[in-house]
Amino acid sequence: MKAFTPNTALDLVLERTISVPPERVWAAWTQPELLMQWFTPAPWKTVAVDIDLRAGGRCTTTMESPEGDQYPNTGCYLHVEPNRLLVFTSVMTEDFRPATPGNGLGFTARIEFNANHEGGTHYRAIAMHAHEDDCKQHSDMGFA
Amino acid sequence: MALPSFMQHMGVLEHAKVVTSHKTGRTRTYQLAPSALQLASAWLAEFRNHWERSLDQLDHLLITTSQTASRIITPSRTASHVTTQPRKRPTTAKGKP
Repeated sequence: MKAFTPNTALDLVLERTISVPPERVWAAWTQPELLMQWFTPAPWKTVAVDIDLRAGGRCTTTMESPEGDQYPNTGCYLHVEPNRLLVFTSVMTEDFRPATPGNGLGFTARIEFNANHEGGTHYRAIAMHAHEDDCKQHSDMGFA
Repeated sequence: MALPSFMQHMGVLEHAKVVTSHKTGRTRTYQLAPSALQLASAWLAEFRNHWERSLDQLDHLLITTSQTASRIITPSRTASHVTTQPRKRPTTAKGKP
């Protein structure tokens, strides 16, 4: 597969290496009970995860602020390749239906998982944005 | 660079709000207006901060569970329909990071 080249002006690229195999990292990204434990920076919490792990499947997470206000984020998976590549977007809902403009947060996340020689995983998470306004809206909501 | 080319370049920069200009007599003065670029990078920086903190939590979760859990987590190869409702305590949770 052709390597993906991020747009440095619009995309965030985070790369990390961790000493657990890709299967474990993949599980943490795709199993609700694990996702809930890390997906939102404290003191915010992820209080609900509703996913259908397939291309076109829904990907909904609900964030809760320290004040107890809840913010659901809908989306859908675009690519599900276990232990290798996960791509999801907020600009579509289940079965690739276009999200209404009010859905906000136009972003696509791409997470690449690669096993390294030490039995660990190198992963690269990329958040793609359409333009600056989207970045600002994302930032204003206090959610990444 | 010839003046017309230079003016064309400056016009592009001004359109992108990277520079501003004002004309006094026959002199047009350009001034750097970095706010547009700074704003974009500030949004990205804040966004990055959130992601870094989330991934810190992810790393912590993976490391702590690899030390304590004997349970091997294998993702299903078929489509899964898993719903976790708000405030429902996951049976496999090891506690909030």
